Amino acid sequence: MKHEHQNHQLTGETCSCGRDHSEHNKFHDRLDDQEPCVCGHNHDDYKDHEHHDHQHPKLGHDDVSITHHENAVIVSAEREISGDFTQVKETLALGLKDLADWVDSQNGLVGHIKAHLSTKGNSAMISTTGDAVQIKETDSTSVSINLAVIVFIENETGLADQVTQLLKKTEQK
Amino acid sequence: MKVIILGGFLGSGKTSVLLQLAEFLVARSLKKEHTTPVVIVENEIGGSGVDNLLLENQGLTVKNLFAGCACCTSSAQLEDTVSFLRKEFDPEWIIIEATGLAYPDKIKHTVTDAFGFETGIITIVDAQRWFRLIAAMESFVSGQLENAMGVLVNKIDCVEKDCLHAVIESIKTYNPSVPCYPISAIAEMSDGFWENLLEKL
Repeated sequence: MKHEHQNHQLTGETCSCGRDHSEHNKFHDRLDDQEPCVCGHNHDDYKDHEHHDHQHPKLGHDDVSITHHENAVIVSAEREISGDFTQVKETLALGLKDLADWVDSQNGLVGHIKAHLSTKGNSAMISTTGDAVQIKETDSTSVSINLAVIVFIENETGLADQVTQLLKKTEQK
Repeated sequence: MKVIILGGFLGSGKTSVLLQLAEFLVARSLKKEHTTPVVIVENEIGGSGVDNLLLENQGLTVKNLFAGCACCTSSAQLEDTVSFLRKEFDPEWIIIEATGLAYPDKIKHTVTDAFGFETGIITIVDAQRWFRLIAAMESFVSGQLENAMGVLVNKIDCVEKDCLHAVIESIKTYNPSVPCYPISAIAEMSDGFWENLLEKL
């Protein structure tokens, strides 16, 4: 049985199984079908289809992580930024469409591209030791962004760049 | 306890359907005291979730299963999760929202083999993208129809009647006996619709 390592090619990191998988789509043979992969994953239950990928999350750009499943590239990002909720929402709405168009232009296929936004507004701490009541307030507004991109594409370096640029745009507004 | 698996390709509308189904199940159980009507297992292939945040904001009880697919790489974690939910909540229903890259039938086998629960698959299909996806990955997309108790053909507001008819005909070539229900998940689905569908479980 062969198993496929597609997840280390960008970072150049060595897989925990000890092999160098920096070459895209590089395969290696397993010595024993019954032996679990030395990187710790057991793929024996999934021989009948292509769900025997490795989930080794890695940092692509900043806080953007890239993993793989079958032929899909999964990009996840979580970021908290200062800014106005409506402006960030509108920037992301345009940016997600641009990202989908870019995937199309690369002859890729969009699985889904999703983002969730939430705000953290004012906060207050109220305390007393029995005398006066102290109130400490903060009025900073921040927006939490959760981004999930699942696409089928070969140019994943370009994809990571696109996502990073998209997140930068939300911070510039 | 019964289990519903919501399957279907990425972007087909699983979460939109889930919100309506969960709302229906909660409303139906309002008269029963000391019961948890429904808990949701949200499976995400990536390390960060989006749909779970939406569901939690709707007041639903959600257990996340991230960074793997419940039909294969995370099947053991799925067993642990269902076992935990049974002990913690003993809900009437568990809804498992599969990743868009999962084979729902494999999830069903995991649940039924481990627990013996009555388990049904509802597969959601994007009518607008069906033929494009079939052209690109026929084996995988058609495999998501396997053993479904119903297929919800979603986004009918985005396609012409002829196209919808062709999509249903195409689905039937892969699973001739499965009932197909044209829907638009952005519109409200009636209680009667859900009652009828869940009767098949």
